[in-house]
Amino acid sequence: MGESSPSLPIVKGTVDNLVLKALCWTPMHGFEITQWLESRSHGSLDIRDSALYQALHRLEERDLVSAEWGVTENNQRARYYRITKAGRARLTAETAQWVRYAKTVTDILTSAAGPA
Amino acid sequence: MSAEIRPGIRRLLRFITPRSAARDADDEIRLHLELRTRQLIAEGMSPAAARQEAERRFGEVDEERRAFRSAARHRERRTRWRDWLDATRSDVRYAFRTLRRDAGFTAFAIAIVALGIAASATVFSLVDGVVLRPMPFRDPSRLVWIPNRGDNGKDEWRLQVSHFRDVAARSQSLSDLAGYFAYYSIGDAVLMQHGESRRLTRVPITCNFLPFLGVTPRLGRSFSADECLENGPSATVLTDRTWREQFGADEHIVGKAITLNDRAVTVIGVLPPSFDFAGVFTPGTPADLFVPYALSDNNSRGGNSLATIGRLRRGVSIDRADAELVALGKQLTEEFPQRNTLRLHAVSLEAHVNGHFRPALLMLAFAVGAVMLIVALNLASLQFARITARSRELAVRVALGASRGRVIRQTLTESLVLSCTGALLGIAIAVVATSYVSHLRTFDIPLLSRVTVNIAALAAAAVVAVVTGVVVGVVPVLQSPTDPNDALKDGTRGATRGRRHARIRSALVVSEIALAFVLVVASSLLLRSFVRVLDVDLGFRPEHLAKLRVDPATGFKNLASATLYYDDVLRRVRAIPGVTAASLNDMLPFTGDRSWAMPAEGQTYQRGNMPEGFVRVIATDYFRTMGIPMRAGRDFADTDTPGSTPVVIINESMAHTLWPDRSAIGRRIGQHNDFVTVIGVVGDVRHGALESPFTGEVYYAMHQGLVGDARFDLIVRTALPPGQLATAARSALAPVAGDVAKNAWTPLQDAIDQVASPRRFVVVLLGGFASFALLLAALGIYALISYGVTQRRQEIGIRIALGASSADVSGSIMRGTIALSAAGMLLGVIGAMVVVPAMSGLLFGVTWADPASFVGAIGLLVVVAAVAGLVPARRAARVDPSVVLRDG
Repeated sequence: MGESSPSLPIVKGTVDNLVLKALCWTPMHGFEITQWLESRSHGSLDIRDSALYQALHRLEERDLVSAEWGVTENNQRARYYRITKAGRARLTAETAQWVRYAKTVTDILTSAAGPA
Repeated sequence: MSAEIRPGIRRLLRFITPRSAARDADDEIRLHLELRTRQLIAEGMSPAAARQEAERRFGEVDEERRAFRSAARHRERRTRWRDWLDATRSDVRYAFRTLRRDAGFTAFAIAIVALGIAASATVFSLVDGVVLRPMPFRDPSRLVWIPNRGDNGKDEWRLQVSHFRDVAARSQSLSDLAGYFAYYSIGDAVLMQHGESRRLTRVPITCNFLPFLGVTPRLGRSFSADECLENGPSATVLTDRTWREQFGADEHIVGKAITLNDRAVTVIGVLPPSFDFAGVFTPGTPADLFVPYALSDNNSRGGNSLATIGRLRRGVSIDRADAELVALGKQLTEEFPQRNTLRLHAVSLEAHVNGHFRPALLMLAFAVGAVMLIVALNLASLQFARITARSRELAVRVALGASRGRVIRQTLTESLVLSCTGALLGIAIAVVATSYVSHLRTFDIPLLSRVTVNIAALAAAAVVAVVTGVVVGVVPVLQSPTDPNDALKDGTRGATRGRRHARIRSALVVSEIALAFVLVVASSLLLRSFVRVLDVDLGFRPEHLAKLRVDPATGFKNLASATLYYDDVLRRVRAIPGVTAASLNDMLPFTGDRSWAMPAEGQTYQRGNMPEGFVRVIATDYFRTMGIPMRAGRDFADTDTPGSTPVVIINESMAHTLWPDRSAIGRRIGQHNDFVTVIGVVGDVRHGALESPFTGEVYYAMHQGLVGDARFDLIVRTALPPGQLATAARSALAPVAGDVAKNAWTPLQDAIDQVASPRRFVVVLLGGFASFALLLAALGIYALISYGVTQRRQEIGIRIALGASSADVSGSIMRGTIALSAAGMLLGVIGAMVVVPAMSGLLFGVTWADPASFVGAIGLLVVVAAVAGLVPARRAARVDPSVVLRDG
């Protein structure tokens, strides 16, 4: 659970993109998404469960994901979220932007200090 | 305010929204907590600790639950809305599909709805602009028109200035009084600008006229007190139109001097475009600029000159003001015997301005309502036929699980699509039609120019469209069977239900015929009145008469130079080949209103009973030119000069009034030492309106004196085409009156058309509506009969097979048609007897019970019904029994 290293604070608006990424492969219910994110981040991202659901509802409101009721393997009633076409497009765009942003910031932070 | 409502709406929605939305939210949270707890237990936690940790990680469970629930509810609402939209979209799509399959019906339905809506919206705009909307003045409901009734209690005279001053000072019920000089003449002010002259119409108004009406100049100011004195500084206020057309909308015009009739006049203000003096008070005539009219003793001697308006004090009724003014009139008449008699009254200005158009416009509004009703009936009848034809399809849909509500919704969508498409088209037509109508300058209708299609008219059209759609969409379905078994079993033979539908449709068509009948009767009555009006004996022959305004830009020094000028003009025009006669008149029929007292010599009259005569100043040969018969005596001659005995020619009415029992020739009119001798008696001529009776007229000789700075109309009797006359006259007049030759020749008939124009306006519109109604009724009959023939093909086939001749068959169809139209006409006659008497005020020369109109309408409808029934009847006669019977 990564108790040894402190959790990273989450940059605002990132949860939405992470959720979209999570749904990219297959529709999931809320808890599955949490698990997916925890396993991918090795527990180093501090996302409140409630924040995840808020993100899901936000995305649904904007038609980036759609939801329908289904049944889990254990026959429990669960709400499954599925990424929409618009959601996929959004994810691609956001990812590209994020990569550019991160690269630029990284480049600056890691370059040698000196006059421009 | 919305903040107060919203919680209420939310509560309402929570109430409506099924529990499921909230339960779903709870389920989602519960599942999450459960799975998380299970995971933590698997990782080695105690169940209690795991549960606690799961909730901690989730965050504020209660708050989240609330957020969840509201999000869920929101979602729910959205989904429902989307479902509704989806259903509607599919309904609309379905409607378009079925309507396209039935292109003929669709086009017809849309066309009649469009025409109906266009007519409704246009007439509503008219009624609204002319009658309903308040006049463009401050607090118009408190404005009253103050007529000074003539001896007969009908004529409307003006007020003498001295009386005006006293009424203003003494009246308790009126807070203020204003007026305008009623006898201004059209084009009396010559504007000189850059060496070019232009004729403008100048209206003298009392000093307070503009502030009284609440009109604020857009530039400059209204008249000051000293400008309203008799010899005060000359000042004028321009109308917006004059300011634009003559002065290029010069923003700095205030304070500049312009040249009017060779005098410098200072422009002190420009009026706003909303102020339409002519539109309200003198429709059909121009009013270009305003000058002050002094309330002086000098002007008072000019007689009854002020058209007067009053403003009621707050809380005072018109009746009270009327009672006070009647008493005040009597009081002033007794107090000042040397002044004119005063018989004051008060009527609302609104009623004075459009009072006589109100019945006509209400008539049109009724007509348009009837037309719209016919449209709806027609559509309903057609929908009935379609629903009957589709009853099996509908029944199948009900059997397959569609609810009755769903089926109604489907047909409702269909008819709403129809009526709304029709309405859109209709509104487009209405916009064009209204702007066309409001730009018609040939109609003497007050405030016509401000008529526009407004929101109210469009809203009315939309409401009509929707109501039509709903009625037409729902009613037929409600009549359709509730039990699908019924319809499916019913089969093609259309048993009882089919007959019931046919009865309902017959009733609809009968109502259509009845309504159309009423409209036809009403419009035929108006048309016959119109023809009677045009047929009235004018007293002169207007055909082949043309007139030209002779208005030299520069004034004359004296009578001699004026007569020299006019004689020269006359001589030159008479010499034009093709001109058979020519003369001059300073006030042609239908162009003005000027009466003088005409006492017979030696006769004393009681006050208020003084005979009056309409005054005209003419040149020689006027009666021959106009075609007015000479009854006795002689025409003016060149020997009637300023030096010879003053002479006049009077008309028969005048002669009869003054000397009922003896010849008028040689007798004198006048009092004291001021007499004129009657040398001739001529036929009567109409002047005010075509419908008004003949009154006394007195003709003066131009050579013996002019009235005011007399300008004349040159009238010419000629068979020359207008263009040729204008060219010939231009070259003939160029040496003496070059500026006059530029004026336009107009046929005298135009003036008569102008007077008849409001009547023509109503006749044309109502005639249009009646024709439309008739057409719709015919189509209704045709559709019904034709449908019946299709339904009864087998029966007809059997009858033919059994030996009925084609004449028998078509005869029976025609009998059905005639029965239908007879029922409709019977209803129509009853309807007409209820409705038509209300329009008595619009009739002239016919009574509302005019047999010709009723019989004519019956004949017309019989013919229309026969034609409409004939086509299906012939189709029935051609039914081939072998084909029909084989096809089953």
